Amino acid sequence: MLEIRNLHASIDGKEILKGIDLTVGEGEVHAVMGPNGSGKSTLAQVLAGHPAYAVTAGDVTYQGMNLLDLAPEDRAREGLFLAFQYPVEIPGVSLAYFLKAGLNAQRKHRGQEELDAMEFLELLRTKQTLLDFDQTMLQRSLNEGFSGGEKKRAEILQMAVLEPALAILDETDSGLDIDSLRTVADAVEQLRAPDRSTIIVTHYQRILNYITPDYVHVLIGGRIVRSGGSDLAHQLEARGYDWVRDEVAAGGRPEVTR
Amino acid sequence: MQAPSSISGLNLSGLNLLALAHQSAAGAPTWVHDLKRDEAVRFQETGFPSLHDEDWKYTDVSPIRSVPIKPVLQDPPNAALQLVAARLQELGIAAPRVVFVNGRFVPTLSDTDGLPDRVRLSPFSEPSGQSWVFAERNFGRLSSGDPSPFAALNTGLFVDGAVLYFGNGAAVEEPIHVVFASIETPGPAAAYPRLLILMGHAAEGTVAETYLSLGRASTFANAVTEVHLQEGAILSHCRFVAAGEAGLHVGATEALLNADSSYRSLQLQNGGRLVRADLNVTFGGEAAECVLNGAYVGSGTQHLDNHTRIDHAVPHCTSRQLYKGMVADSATAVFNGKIVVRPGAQKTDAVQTNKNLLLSTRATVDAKPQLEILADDVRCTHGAASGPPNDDALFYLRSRGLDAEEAIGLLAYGFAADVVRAGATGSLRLLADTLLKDAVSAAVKSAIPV
Repeated sequence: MLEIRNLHASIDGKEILKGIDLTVGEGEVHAVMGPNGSGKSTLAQVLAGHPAYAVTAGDVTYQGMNLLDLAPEDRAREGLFLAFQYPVEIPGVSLAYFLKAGLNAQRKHRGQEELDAMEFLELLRTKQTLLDFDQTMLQRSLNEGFSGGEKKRAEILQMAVLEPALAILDETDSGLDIDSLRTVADAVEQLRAPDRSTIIVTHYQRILNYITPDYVHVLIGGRIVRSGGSDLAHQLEARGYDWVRDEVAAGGRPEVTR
Repeated sequence: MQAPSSISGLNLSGLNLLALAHQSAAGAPTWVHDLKRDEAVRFQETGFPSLHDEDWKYTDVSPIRSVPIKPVLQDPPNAALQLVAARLQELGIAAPRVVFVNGRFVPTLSDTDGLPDRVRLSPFSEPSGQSWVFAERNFGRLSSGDPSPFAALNTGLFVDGAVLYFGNGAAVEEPIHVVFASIETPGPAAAYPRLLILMGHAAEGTVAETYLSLGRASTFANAVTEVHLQEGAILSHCRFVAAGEAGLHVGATEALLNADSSYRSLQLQNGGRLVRADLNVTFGGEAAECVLNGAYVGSGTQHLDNHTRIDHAVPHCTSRQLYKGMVADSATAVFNGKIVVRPGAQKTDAVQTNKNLLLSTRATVDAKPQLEILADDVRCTHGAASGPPNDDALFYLRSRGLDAEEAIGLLAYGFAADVVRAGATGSLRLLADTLLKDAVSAAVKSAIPV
C-alpha cells in the first residue's frame, strides 16, 4: 500500500524529516506518535503533497505509483485522504457543496458517473448517522465558526464519504472533549476495512483506547526511532517520550518496523 | 475650477449635442427638454473626464471616446429582441418587469400587470404622459448635482427610461425587474438608460436593475438611477452589470434617504471592458440607514471602477459597506469609498470594508478609503485588504480532489458569496449567484463545480 524510504523534507530551508522509513500494508492501522515538533504533522502534509514542503531525498511508493510525482489532487483521486489537524476555514462555500465537488472530481477520475444533488444527499444521509452530525452544519460555510470538535467531525465525515484507500489522521484527537473523541474514534473504527489502511498521527495515546493499532511508531527529531505493537503506546503513555529519547541517545537501535 | 476642455475631442462626428438632446426623448414635456438642454450644455463645458480629475484618476475613459456617442433612435430588430428574451429566460428574470433594448422601451418583453394599484412601473415614453406627472418633482434633482460629466451626458441624451412609484405604505414582496440590454446594431450602440425610483412613506419593495451587453461590439451604456425614499421607506436595490467582454458601462446611482428609511444595495459587476459605477447616498433625515454590498469580477484587460460616496448630512444615521472584488489576468479594479460626516452629524455610525482577491500577479486593485469627518461624536471605521488566494486553503481544497483551477474558482466564489447572500434574497439571490458564478468561471477559466 505505502512504502516510505529514507524520506527527507524541509520547509523554508529547514530540514524537518531526516530519513523516514515506514511500510504500511493493506488494511493495517499504524499509529505514528511523537512529541511536539518531532515532524509528525510534516510527514502527514508531505504525504498529502503540501507544496510548502520540499522533499530533498528519499521516495514514497503508493499502490505501485511514485507518490511524490503526483499533484495533491491526484493523490486524493487515487484514494489518499488527509484529515487535517487544523481544517481550513473556507468562507462562502458550504461543506455539502465542497464535499460534492471533491467526491465528483474523484469519481470522474476513476471513470465513475458523477453524483447528482439527490444522489449525493442520499449518500450523505447514510454517512451522517455515523458521526451524529448536525444537519445545519452541512449548509454552513466550511469550518467557519465550527468548534474544534465540529471541525474534526467534519473531517471524518469527509473521510466517510470519500472512502479512501489510505487515510492519514493528523492529530484528529487534539482539542476534542471526551464525548467528541469517542464519537470520532468510533467512526474511524467503523471505517476500518480490509482494503483501507490508516495512519493515525498523534501526540497522546488516548485515541488508541478506542482504535487499536496494528503497529506503533515513535517519531523523534524527524526519524522513526522505535516501532512496536500496540503495547508500545501504553508504555509511552506511562513513561512519556523521554525514555525513548534517552535510549536512542544511548545508542539503542530502533526496532525493525515489520 | 478646471478649465473647460475642448469639445473637439468628442467623437460627435459633427453632431450637434444640443440638437441631439432635443431630438431624444421626443414627446417629453417642455421642462424635460429644458433640463436636457441645460445638462447637455454642462457636458459640453466639461467634456469627458481625464486622469487629471481626482474622481477619474485611475480610470481612463478613452475607450468611450472611440465609440459613437449618438443614442440609438431606432427600434431594435426582432432578432435582437429574441436574443434578449432568451437571456432573460436563462437568468430567470420574470414579471413584473420592464425591458429596454438600446435605451428603447420594448412593450412585448415587458409585463407589469401583477403590480398592486398603488405601485406603478412605466416607461417615460408612455403615450398618456402620466409617467412624467409622477416624475416631475424629482426627476433630475439628484443627477443635476452629480459632478460627473457622464451624469450630465445621460440627462442630455437619454431617450427613454422608467419611473417606479410606490404609494405611501405600498408593499410588494416579489422583486420588480428593470432591464436595460445593449446589443450591437450591427456596430457599436450607445444607450442612456434612466431610472427614477420613488418610494412613499413606509413603502417597501425590492428592485433589480440589470444591464446586459449582448454581442461582441463595444456597446456603450451610460446610466443614471435616482432613488428617493420617503420617511420609513425600505428599499432593497440590486444593480447587476453583466457588460460582457467588450461592453462599456458608466452608471451612477443617486439615493436620497429621508428619516427612518432603509436602503439596501447590492451591486454586482461581471466583466466589461470598462465599467464605472458610482453610488452616492445622501442622508436627508435622521435615523436612516444604508447597507451597501458590492462584488466585482474582472479578467483579461477589463477595468472595473466602483466609487461610493455616503453623505452623512444629518445625525443618527448608520452606513455599512462591504465591497469585494477579484481580478484575474491583467485586469484592474478601483474601489474608492468616500464617507463625509458633516458638521453636526453626531452619532454617525459608518463602517466600510473593501477586500480584493488577486488571481494573478499582473492584476491590480487601487483601494482608496476617503473619510472626511467634521463631527466629533461619531464612529467611523474602514478597512481594505488585497491579496492572493490563501495557500493553505488551496491545498485543503486540492487535497479533496479538486484541481488547482477548480480550487481557485471555489475559493474565489466563496470569497464573494457572502456579499451576494447579504444583499439579495429569494429569486434575486439565485440570479446574483448565477452572475457571480459566471463571472468567477470566466476569470479562472474553469467552471465552478456545482
